[in-house]
Amino acid sequence: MLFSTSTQRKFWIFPSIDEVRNLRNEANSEFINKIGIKQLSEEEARYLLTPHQEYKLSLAYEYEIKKFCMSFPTPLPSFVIATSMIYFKRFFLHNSIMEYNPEDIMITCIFLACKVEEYYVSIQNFSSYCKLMPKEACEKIVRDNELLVMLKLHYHLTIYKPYKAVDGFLLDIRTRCKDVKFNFERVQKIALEFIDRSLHTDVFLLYSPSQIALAAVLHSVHREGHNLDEYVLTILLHDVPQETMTKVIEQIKKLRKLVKHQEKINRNEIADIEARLRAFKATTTWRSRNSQFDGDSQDSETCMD
Amino acid sequence: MQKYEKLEKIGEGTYGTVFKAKNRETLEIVALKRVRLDDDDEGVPSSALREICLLKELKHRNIVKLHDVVHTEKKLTLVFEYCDQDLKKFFDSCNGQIDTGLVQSLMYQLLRGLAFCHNKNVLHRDLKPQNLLLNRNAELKLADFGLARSFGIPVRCYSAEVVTLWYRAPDVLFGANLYSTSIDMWSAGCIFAEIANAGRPLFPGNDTDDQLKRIFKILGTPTEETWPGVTQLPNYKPFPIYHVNTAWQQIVPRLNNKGRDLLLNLLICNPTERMCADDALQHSYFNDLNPNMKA
Repeated sequence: MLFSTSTQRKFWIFPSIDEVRNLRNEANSEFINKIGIKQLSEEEARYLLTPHQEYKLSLAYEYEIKKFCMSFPTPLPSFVIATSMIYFKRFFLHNSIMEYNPEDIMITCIFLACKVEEYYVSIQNFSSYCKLMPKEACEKIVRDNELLVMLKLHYHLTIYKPYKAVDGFLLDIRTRCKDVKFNFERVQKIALEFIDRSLHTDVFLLYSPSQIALAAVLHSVHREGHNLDEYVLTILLHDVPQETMTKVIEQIKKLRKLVKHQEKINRNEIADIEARLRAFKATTTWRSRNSQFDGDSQDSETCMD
Repeated sequence: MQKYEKLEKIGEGTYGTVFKAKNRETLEIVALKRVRLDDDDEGVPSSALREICLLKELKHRNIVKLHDVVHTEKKLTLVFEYCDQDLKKFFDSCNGQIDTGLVQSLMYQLLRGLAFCHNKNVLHRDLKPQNLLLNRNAELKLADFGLARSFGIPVRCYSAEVVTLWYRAPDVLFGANLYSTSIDMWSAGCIFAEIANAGRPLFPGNDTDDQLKRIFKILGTPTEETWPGVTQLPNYKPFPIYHVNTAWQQIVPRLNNKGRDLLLNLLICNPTERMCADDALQHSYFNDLNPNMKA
């Protein structure tokens, strides 16, 4: 399928990082409005997470996704891990981590990604590989949350990833820039590591897979001591207007910067946030309210388009 | 689900029941495909997921439109545009008669839908008259993408009904595991002949052997000369070399020369030589197609 007409491009790639942050802020404040801030006791209000804390916690869970997938007897392939992480990112872009248990959502995203990517793991095996809880509990979580996750992703389940584009670029460079000599496997490996790191940033909500692939290739070839400026300017973009060329180069630079300066996860900080979240959920008011919007007439909710 | 008023049951799909229904607000008639989710199964069936994944991305006038997905407690309902009938039911109502202009227009639409899928690297893999829907304006829509993009073609579907072999390409019948858009083009060829004959299937085989025999009796048994590599296919077995003297005027009496030429280009045993959808749309058979159709 073509990326240019995809739901990914139409609904899940945003013009700026500020817009992405705004969406997270909105998800946070919508949840607080929904439970009614005025009716919260002071104690409860104290435990509310800020949008940034929510973001930090979801980042921490993205590392957990990777860990979970790698802990299978045969670790899940990178395209399944990537799809799981992107599902998880999209889920918490529009929903508060205070409302939905991130662990449940994480497990469900991984199970759904296996199915959609045609990497078949039965629910039985999947649950028995899960080390976080007993098998039956895992099965129940997946069954209870699969439809919810699909709904919150607006049923946009096809995810375009940059892996094939990386190989494409490398082959293209090898055939069209004879003077750039590099070890294919090594450069490919560094590029894939770059994509791995980019999955822990907002890059997938801001750029197309081919832009991410190009950034990954430029990064890895550069690390091997080569310069690809000539390839990009005189071969890859030779027939695009100057203005577009400048824009593309600018975007690739920003993308690389985002990946380079990705947010660090501090264990203590995450433990604090988790403690807050637990304390918040333990407050009785929230509980009684929460039961009200369990099964909150999802009946009539439909997709965006 | 209050949004839709169920009118009648239309049929059983691969993974659930299909109903005709009315949108209470817009009064639009739709088809609801109800996906059953049992407590002990694998959650949402893969075939339903595939259909959702693909139809969310593929929007085209010759592909059935997925309007909406509705999620209730333990049920998932896919809301499709409604079509009055499928091509198979349409054949039943033809009484052996079909207008040549309609044959041309149906085939054109089938190829246009396929070209769109193939250009987006999507294979349908299960083309047959039951999966081609027709609305009141004789607009044809490809439907049932439950097997699309899957790695293999299962022999049985969920209702234990045997998936029909009639539209299956000889390379697939010989067990080829690497196949491409050409498998859909073979099916399109079989369907073309069936449309032209107002519903008489071209190769109604009973099993794999019978299916291949019927094909080779009409098209000739392939050899390493006509189809390099055929003897290396996983389930290849030699068939008698039939003395082929096919009178196409008798097989598809209502197709003109150009139509027969298109048909023969689709029904080529060697998949690499089979005509692709884009080329088929440019075939001279469609030169005198109603220009409104091409617009």
